[in-house]
This record gives sequence, structure tokens and C-alpha cells, in this order.
Amino acid sequence: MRPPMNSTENSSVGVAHAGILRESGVQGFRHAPLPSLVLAAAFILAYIVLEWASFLHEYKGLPVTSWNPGLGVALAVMILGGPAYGAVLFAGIVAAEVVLLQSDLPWPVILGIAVAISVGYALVADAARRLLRLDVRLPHLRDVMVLLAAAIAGALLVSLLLTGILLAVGHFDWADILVAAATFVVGDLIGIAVMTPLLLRLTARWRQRTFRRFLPPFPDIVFLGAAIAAALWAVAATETNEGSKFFYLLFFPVVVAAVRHGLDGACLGLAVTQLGVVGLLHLHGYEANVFTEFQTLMFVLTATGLVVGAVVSERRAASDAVREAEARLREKEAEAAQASRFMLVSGMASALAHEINQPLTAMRALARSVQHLLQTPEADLPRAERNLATMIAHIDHVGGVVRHMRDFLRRGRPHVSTIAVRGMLEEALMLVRASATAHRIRLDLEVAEGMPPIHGDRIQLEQVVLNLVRNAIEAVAGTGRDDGSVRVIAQMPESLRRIEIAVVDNGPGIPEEMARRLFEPLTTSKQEGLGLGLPICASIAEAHGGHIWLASREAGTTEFRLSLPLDPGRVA
Amino acid sequence: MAVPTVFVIDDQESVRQALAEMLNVFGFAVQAHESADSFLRLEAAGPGCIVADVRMPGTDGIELVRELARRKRGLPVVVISGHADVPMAVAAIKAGAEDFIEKPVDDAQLVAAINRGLARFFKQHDAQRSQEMLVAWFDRLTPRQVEIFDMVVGGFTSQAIAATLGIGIRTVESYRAEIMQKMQAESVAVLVRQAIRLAP
Repeated sequence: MRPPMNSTENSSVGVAHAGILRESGVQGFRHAPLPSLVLAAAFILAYIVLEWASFLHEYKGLPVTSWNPGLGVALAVMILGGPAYGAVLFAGIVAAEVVLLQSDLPWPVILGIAVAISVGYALVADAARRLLRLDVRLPHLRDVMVLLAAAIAGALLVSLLLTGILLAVGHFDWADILVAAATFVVGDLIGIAVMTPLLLRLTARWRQRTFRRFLPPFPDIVFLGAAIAAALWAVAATETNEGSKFFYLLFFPVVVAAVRHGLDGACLGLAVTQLGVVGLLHLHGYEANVFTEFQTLMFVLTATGLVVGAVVSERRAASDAVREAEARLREKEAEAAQASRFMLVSGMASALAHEINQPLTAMRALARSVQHLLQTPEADLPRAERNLATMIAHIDHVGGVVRHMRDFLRRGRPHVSTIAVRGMLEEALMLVRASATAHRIRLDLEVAEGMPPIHGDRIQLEQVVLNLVRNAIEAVAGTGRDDGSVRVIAQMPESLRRIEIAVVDNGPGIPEEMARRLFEPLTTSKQEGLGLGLPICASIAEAHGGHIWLASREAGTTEFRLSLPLDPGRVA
Repeated sequence: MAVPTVFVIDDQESVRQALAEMLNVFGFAVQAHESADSFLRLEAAGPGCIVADVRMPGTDGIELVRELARRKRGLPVVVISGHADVPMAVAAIKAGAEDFIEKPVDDAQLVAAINRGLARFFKQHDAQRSQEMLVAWFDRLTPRQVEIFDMVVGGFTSQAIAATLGIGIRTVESYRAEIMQKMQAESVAVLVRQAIRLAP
């Protein structure tokens, strides 16, 4: 029952206990209402050890010490494992009473006290989980508040029951109530506030397989440990019977730990601080009321530390979530861009096959000519060699087309490089030229002199140009005119640190209704189109710090323009 | 007669030159053109065969086949295409193309088609020439001789012709000899065949 005193190594018991929680099977915990035997035995042992360790003062034969870490462990176990562990708590209380304290209280009283504590806290644990939907990982400030509220409610309820029992059996008289009840309440509160969040966080870390990240980095441990020790020394050195006026110094390391390492840091800092305070009080041998006063201050410190820690953790988790969402979004954008490239290329498949078939035709003819030349007596070797050289040039051309198509379709993350504008445009047109020829459309490229290189993802920029050119070709082809032309013009507007690439066609123009929604997804005039080409082009342009717009929707001079800065900020 | 020439027409320079080079190595006289229009501008393309791509700016391969079919002495055309599909091949053959060959071109198939085209061209050429000669001979007949020619091939005997025209049988015999001589016919049977060929 009431925590025995003499604190040593509280927090290490807690850590050992978390290990036992895991071994007993995390899954079994939530679903099986019956306590695991191993866990129950381990818990009873831990409880007795903690009772022994925290036994400091006795009041009328009762170990009323305002530091009840065993109860904190018990509440954590009941929250994690269910209220059935209340029975184990009951056994632990009785065992501790008999083994440790050799209490002279009559048996019915001991049993009554044990029932009051175990049932009271089992109810509190169950209410916190079921009614208040406490998340055992304590991810939000709300969960910490629920836990603290549960601690306060439980402590009040149980101390009421205990003093009631003790009054009823005549062990206490009315004068004792204030001293005893206040000690009960504060001891339970501080035990729960320090131990329960610590155990819940350790368990959460264990389950997430990030147990090591519970501990702050070594330099922080040294610094915070030193700060706590210094504050404790200051507290001890200025000790009076009225307590210390330097207690508030302990806020510093706890708050620093909470701010730097969130709830985990706060829990650890509080456990160490509490250990220090208890040790200090033990060494000095204070009066029980002074101890209680200290523990009251300690509870304020604990609540502050936990709240700060929870807020910091929550904010950190939120910003992590945002970062993760951003990363996922970027990944999705890259996937969409790639899918759109596949669409582009599959739409040009027959034209690309032609682009490869033509040089193959030439190569075959040249190969046969060389064969024939070599078979004739007095072969014309220079002629054969000339034809072979032409053939090799064709092979290189085909290789270039194939390689480029593969690059264009390659998977993966955006790759930023320095890009020569003319080369980039020529490569983009290489993939679409066959399409233009097939529709008998002139495809011209004009690049202004002295165009500086730009920075960005070459494939993505080619994709934008290719998209615009292909749209232009299809628009012109739809008119069936025989003087169809598509022009790609790259220029540098004066005095501006950007380049502009215009794609101009003499097709039928774009209706006003369509022009307004061009860059919205699912706007398309094509049968098989998904209407994603231009929106993806727009997002690629934006990722390069540029933009894309319809400069003229007139028939005969339809013009799209892509503007790109020479020094972009973020790229794709 | 002049040496037959293969005219290679393809808008893509690499293909045009490679095919021309191959056919040249194979022993053909070759002329390359970058468009059907530039070929059609030639006043009189000598005897030969055309190898033309289907898709070209301006007049395309199939239009070229149609255009040549309209001409009196059209050259045969072998159509080649990288965009081979059945409707296109059917259109080419219906228009009168000698053959339709997919790119990359199988040279054995190409050469066979060219030779077939040339043979057909010359045969047609010969037939056309003999017809022209026949017409020229026929034009040399006088109206009286034409009248008697019609009656001879109509199966009338000399006596019947003489009775019908009211002239002497000897006179009819001498007309007949002159007609046979002018038409270079050895017998009435030959004369009858010529009459059939001359019939409109």
C-alpha cells in the first residue's frame, strides 16, 4: 500500500519493466483480459522493490510517503494491459504490506486498503482509455492532460476511500485526516505523473522499434545531468526548515530537456530530477510535511515539464507529417510527369517507329551495296568504305534516337543540370520530328544568338516543349492544310534574367471557352487524351521558377510561351 | 532505244541516296528525286521504272501512280513505305502500282519488282508501237481503198465487190493488191486481225 521510502534507482526499475512488458506480448495485452503470469509476477516484484525503495516516513504505522512510484508503474500497466491488472496490483499491495512493512494493521483493514487502491485506479485507468480515449503513446497534449486529470481524479478518489476506511476502523482520528490525505494525494500524484508517462513513452518507443531514440544525445545528457545536479545542490545548500527558495532552478533543466527533446526528454529529465529530490530528502532526513511540500512543488514541475514536452513533441510530429506529405506529393508529381511522358511517347509511337525505320532502310540498302561491291572482281573498295561510313552515321543516329527515348522515359527523381537551350530543344524535336513529317508539317527551330545556359531538369523541360509541339502538330494536322507549320523560337527578352520559348503554329486556334480552362486537369479536345499534359507542363514550369501561358489563341498564329528564369530557386 | 533508268523518289535524303547507291551498284542507271513533283516536271522521262515513297510533301506516292496511269506512256511504279498498312497497299495496287514494298526494303523483292515493271513497260511499249504503225498504214489508204478494205474484211468476194460497186473484177483485184501491200498483210486473215485492232 503506501509507498515505502528510501529511494534508489527508480528509473532503472522502470526501464527493466518496459522490457518485461514487451516480452509478455504486446498483442496479448489489448485483447486478452487475463493478466499474463510472467508479467504479473514481474510486476509484483517490481512493486515490492519500489515500495521498499521509496519508503521514507511512517505515520501512525502507515508508510505515508509522498512519493509513490509503484503506483505509477501499476497505472501504466493497467492502462496498457487493461483493468484486469488491478488484481495484480491488489496482490502487490498485500505482498508489500506483509513482506516489507510487517504492518500491525488487522487483516481486514489491509485487504480493504488494497481493494480501495486497486479498484480505484483500475477504474481510473479504464475510464481514461475507454471514456477519454487516451492514446497510450501520448502523441498529443490532450493525452498528457487526460493522464494528469486521471492522476488527480484517482488520487482524490483513493485518498478519500483510504481515509474513510482508516477513520471507520478508528485507526485515524479527524485531526490526522489533513496530514494523511494530503500526503496520500501528493504521493500518488507525483508517483503517477513521473512514472506513468515515462513507462508509456518507453513502451511506445519499444513498439515502434525506436527505443534508442528515447535517450537524448550524449552531450545533452551530460549537460542536463549537470544542470539538474547543480540545481539540486543549490536547493540543498539553501535549505531551511521552510524549504528552499531555489526550487524553481530545477525548472531550467526540465524545461530545456522538454524543449529540446519533447515528451521523451521531459519524462527522462523529470525522472532524474525526482530521483535527485528523493535522494536529497533521504540524505537530509526531512520531516514528512516538508517532504510533502517538496513533492507538491515537484508535481507542478512535473506537470509543466510534461505539458511543454507534449507541445514540443506534437509540433515536431506535425512538422514531420507535413514534410512527409510534401515529399510524397513531390514523388507523386514526379510519377505523374513520368506517366505523362509515357503518354506522349506512346502517342508518337508510330512516328518514332518511322524515325527508326528510315535509317534502317538506308542501312540495309548500303549494306547490300557493300556486299555486292565486295563480290565483284576488282571491287571498288573506296566506294564500299564510303558506304560503310554512311551506314555507321545512320547507326549512330538510330542509337541516339533510341537512347534519347529511353532517357526521356527514365524513372526516377528530377536531376538538375546546366542545359544548353539549343541542344535541349533539338533533342526534344528529334522525338517529334517524325510526327511532323508524317503530317507534312514544317517544323522549324530558331534559337537566338548568345543564349546563356539554363538550370533545371533537362528531361522535364524537354517534356514541356515536346508536349507543346505535339499539341501544335495535332492542331495543324486537324486542319488538313498543306502549308502547316510549327515554329519553336527561343529568345531572351532584354534586360530580364530569363529566357522564353515560344511554340507557334498556324492551326485553327483555340476557342475562348477552352483557352480559359487549358491548364486545368481533364481539359482536353482529344479522344484519347487525359487532359493532364498541360497541367503537368505548368507544374514543371513552376517547379523551375517559371511559367507557361497561352500568348495567342488566334487561328494562324496560335502561340504558347514558356518562360524560365536563368537562376531558378527550387527546382522540381 | 535508250537505257532504262530507275527513278528513286523519296523526300528523305538518307533513304533516297542509299537506295540509289544500291541500285546503282546492282547495275541500274539511277536518277534520284526528292519529290514526285520534281520528277513530274521532267519533260520526258526516258524508259524505266519508278521507286517512290508513299508519304511525301506535295504529290504523294499513290497520287503519282494515278497521275502516271493517266498518261499515255506511264512508267511503272514500285511503291515503298515505312507506314505500311493494308488499305494503303490496296490503294496503291488499285491505282496501278507495280508492287508495294515495306521499309526496310528487301532488295531482292525490289529488284524483282523493278525488272517486272521494266518488262511490262517494254511489252506495252512494243504493242503500242505496232498499233501506232498500223494506224499510220491505214491512214495511207485512199477513201476508195478504205471502202474496199471494209468489204474484203467483211467477207465479200471480189465478184461480189465488183457487182456491188459496179466496177470490173480486175479493178477490184488490183485495189486488193494495193491494200495488202500498203497494210503489209500477207493474207486476208492478217487483214481481218488488223481490222479488229483498228476498230475503236
